[in-house]
Amino acid sequence: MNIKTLVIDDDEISVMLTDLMIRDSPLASEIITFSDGVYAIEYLKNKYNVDTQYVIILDINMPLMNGWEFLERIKSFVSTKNTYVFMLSSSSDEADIKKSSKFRLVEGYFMKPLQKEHLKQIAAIVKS
Amino acid sequence: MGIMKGIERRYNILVVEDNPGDYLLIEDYLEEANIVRRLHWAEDFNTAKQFLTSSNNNIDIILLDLSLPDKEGEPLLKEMDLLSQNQPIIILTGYPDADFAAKSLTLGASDYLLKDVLNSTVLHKSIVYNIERNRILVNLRESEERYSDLFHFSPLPMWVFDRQTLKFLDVNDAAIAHYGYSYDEFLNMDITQIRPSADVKILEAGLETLKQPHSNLFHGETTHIKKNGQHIEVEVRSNSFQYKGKPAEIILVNDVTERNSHVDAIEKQNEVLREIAWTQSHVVRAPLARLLGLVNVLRDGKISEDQKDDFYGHIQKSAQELDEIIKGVIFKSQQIEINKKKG
Repeated sequence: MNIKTLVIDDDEISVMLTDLMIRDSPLASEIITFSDGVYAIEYLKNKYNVDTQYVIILDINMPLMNGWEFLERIKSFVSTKNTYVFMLSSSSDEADIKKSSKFRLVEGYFMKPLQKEHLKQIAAIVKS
Repeated sequence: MGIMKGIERRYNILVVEDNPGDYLLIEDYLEEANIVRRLHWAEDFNTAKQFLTSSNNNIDIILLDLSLPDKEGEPLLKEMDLLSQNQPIIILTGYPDADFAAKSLTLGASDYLLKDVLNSTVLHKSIVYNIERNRILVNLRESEERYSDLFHFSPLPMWVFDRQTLKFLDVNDAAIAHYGYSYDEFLNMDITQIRPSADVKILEAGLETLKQPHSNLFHGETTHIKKNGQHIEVEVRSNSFQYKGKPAEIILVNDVTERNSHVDAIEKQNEVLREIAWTQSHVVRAPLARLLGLVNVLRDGKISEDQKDDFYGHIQKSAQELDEIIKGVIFKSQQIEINKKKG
C-alpha cells in the first residue's frame, strides 16, 4: 500500500530536521510538509483516499490552526484504518500528553526532536 | 447553745443608735441570738462615718436607727448606703411608718424592723437572711460586671442585636472604632444596614435556621460595610441569649480582610509560577529541541559540507532564542519579588 507522510509544523527548522530523519526510513516514499493545520486540512479534503496510508506528524502550537483543532476537523472524514497521527511537540506538559490520548486517531506522542526510536515505533504501528 | 442547730454563724455587726437604752436592748437580743463575733456601737452618724471609713473594719451588717442627732431619715440612709461597702443595712425605727418602710428598701436598705415588736428571733432571722441574700446579690453583680467588662473591653468588635427587629441593642468600643458609627448611630440601626444589599436575603435565611433548636451557635465568613462605605471581609461568631428579657444574638467579629488579601497575593504568585512552568514546557523546549535535532544530524554526518554553514547558523539562532527566553523567565520571577515588596 502506498504511504504518504504529512509533516505539519510551523517551525521551519523543525520541519527540515523531521524531514531529514524520515528521509532514511520506510516513511520516505512521499513526504509532504505543511506550515499550519489549515493547509493540511485543505490538502486532505481534496486528496484523501481510502487506498492510501497516511502517517501524520503533527505539531501542537501553530498560529492559524493548532494540532487539537486539526484533529477535531479531520475526524469526521478520515478513517483510523488508514490514518495514523503522531504528535510531535516541544512540550513535555503532562496535560498535553493526556489530551492527545483522548483522540482515537492519535497513535503516539513524541517530544521533539524526532529520533530514530520514534521512527521505529511508527513503523511498528503502521505495519500492523 | 444557740437557737440555730448545726453551724453557728457569727458576724461583725455595727449598731448605729443614739439611745443607750435601745442599744442595750439590741445588745441583749444579739447576745441571746448568739451570732455576734464583734459588736460595734456608734452613737451618731459622724462616729459611724469615721468607723466605716477607717480601714479594715470588716463589718458584715449595719443596724441603723433612722433618727440620729446629727442626721436622720432619707438623707441619713443615703449617706450610709454610700459609706457601706456592699454591707446590708437593716433599718431600726421606733414608730411604724409603712410608706417610708417601702421607700427605704429602694434607697438601699435591705430590711426594716420596728423596735416595738423587736425580739431576739426576729433580729436573728433578719440578720442572717440579709447577709446571705446580700452575698448572693454581690456575687451576681460582680459576675454581671465581669461579663460586661469582657464585652466592652474586648479588642474585637462585638454587639448584641434583637432577633425580632434586628436592631442593635448594645455595641462595644472596638465596634465603634472599627466601623466608624457612634454608639447612638448604632442603636438607631439594624444589622442589615452594615451588610451589602445582596447579602440581606442570605442573612434572613441564616436567621431562620437560628430559630431551629440546637443551632444557637453560628460561625462563618461574610461581608460588612463600614460607615465610610469600605467593604470588609469578616469572620463572625454568634451566640443566642436573652438580653433584658428579649431573644438576642451576641456577635463577635474578626476582620479578615487583610488576611484574605495575603491569600489573594499568594494565589496571584502561584499563577505567575504556573505561567513560568508552562513557558518552560512549551517555549523553552522549542529552541532546545531544535538544537538537539541539529546536533544529532551534524553528528550523524547526513549533510554535505555546503549545508554545514546553514546548520551552524541555525544552531546560533536557536541558542540566542533560548537565551532570550531564559532572560524572560528571570524577569518574570523578579516581578514576583517586586509584587511581594509592594504588598
